[in-house]
Amino acid sequence: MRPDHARGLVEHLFRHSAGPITAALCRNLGPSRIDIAEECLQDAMLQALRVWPHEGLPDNPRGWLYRVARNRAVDLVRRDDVLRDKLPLLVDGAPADGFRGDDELALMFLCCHPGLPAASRVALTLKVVGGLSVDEIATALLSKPATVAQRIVRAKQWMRANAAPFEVPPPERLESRVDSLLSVLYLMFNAGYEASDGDTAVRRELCAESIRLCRLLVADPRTDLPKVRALLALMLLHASRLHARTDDAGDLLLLSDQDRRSWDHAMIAEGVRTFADSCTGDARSVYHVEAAIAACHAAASDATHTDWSRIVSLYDELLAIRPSPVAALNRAIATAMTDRLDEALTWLEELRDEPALAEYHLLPAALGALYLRSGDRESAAHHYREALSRRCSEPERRFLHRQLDLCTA
Amino acid sequence: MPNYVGFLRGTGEAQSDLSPEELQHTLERYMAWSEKLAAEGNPPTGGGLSTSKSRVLRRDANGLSVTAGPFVEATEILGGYITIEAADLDEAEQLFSTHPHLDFGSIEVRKVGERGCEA
Repeated sequence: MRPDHARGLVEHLFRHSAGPITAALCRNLGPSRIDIAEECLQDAMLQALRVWPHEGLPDNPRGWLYRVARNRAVDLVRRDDVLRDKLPLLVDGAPADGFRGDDELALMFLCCHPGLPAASRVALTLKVVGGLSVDEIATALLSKPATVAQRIVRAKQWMRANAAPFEVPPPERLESRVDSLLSVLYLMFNAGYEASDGDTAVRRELCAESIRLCRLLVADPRTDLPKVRALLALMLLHASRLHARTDDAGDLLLLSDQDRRSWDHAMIAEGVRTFADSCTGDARSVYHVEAAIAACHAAASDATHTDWSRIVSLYDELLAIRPSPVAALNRAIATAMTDRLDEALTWLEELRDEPALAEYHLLPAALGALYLRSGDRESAAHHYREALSRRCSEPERRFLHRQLDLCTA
Repeated sequence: MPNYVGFLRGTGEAQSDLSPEELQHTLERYMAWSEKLAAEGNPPTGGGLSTSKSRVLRRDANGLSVTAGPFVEATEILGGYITIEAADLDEAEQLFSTHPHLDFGSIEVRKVGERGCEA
């Protein structure tokens, strides 16, 4: 609950200012000096802590933060022999209050540069563009703070060594660079969506941040591509169910048990609209297919009225574009919903040999669910126990225990 | 009623690892503290002190020497000050004791001397 007095202060103002301010400073300082931009931003926010409680909120808080950060940067640059030539840029080149709309896009492209390892791209984007701390990123990505910190340090070293330009890439390189960016946003969103333990607030923020950044791409004509809209649609359709996925006690609810009235129907409508807008070209990306699957779920009044055979054929299409064991697992589960239970069980049993799923708790969990449905409680219990032996979140663990109890009751 | 000033020390170090979101929550708590006092008819005044634009002046046998920055331990850097009214030092202590800055650093409470001042 936010205190009443802070009403004048826009929620998440600081976090949402982090990307634009860092980006505006980066344009003038050069991309190799992200660290200075971040330091100046931090100083500006600390200064707000010392001043705002007495003097009240400035008329334009974000502009105030930017000016203080820029003044700090001017101070630092003046004292640095190497950076001194950036001074005129900082003083004259930057807008007083406003921000160039594509600064944040350029910063995103920089953080998602294909020259960086994929894991570093996600961490760096969350830190620099998303304004999350190392601890928050570690929580969100189920990683250790030290690992995240190291990835970010190395990524910044790479930037210094490689002088990657601060720009929205020119048309001839745009396509592949957008792909790299989209895969980061996709990973970021899934990290927020799939994980269900720990700090749920941080996770929801991760979903919201992915959506915000994807909207930035859609808003710029250069990056407003069908696959970008498809990814935005996919995120909106999934995010619409976020709040319905757990009950009041924080326990996980299966799709079939969720109260569909608590889905965010405005978000679903926007997702469906965005998906329609994304189907303009000939190309169908994986995001198109996944968005189509999400739209099938969103359109159904309940689990039994879901068009499961269409979902199975969409998974077939997905597997044809980009084979993945997790998609194969989902296809098998959808198949079981079309009453082809034996067929589904055969596929799932085959997937047990898949090395990529050796540690994945949802495979034995799915096997347990299907055996339970087929009436083979003994096999179901066996698989639920196996699922419990693998790494999973606390709410998932409680869920699996409840299912196991059903088998042995 | 006499005025008491609270010197807020050691903000930078302890707060430099906070995320923007955490900093904003901290700001909201700082503001809540100030506004609660204001609502009780004791509006605090004060300000932030720049840590970068600072010089220390000294004069000794060799003349004036000027150095940049307050060269003290980071944990003791004076970041800001707040002035409030209180009946006595005990009440001032009690009022400052709820300030959220204490999560990050110390507050030195001093009575502002009146006229003839006092030791």
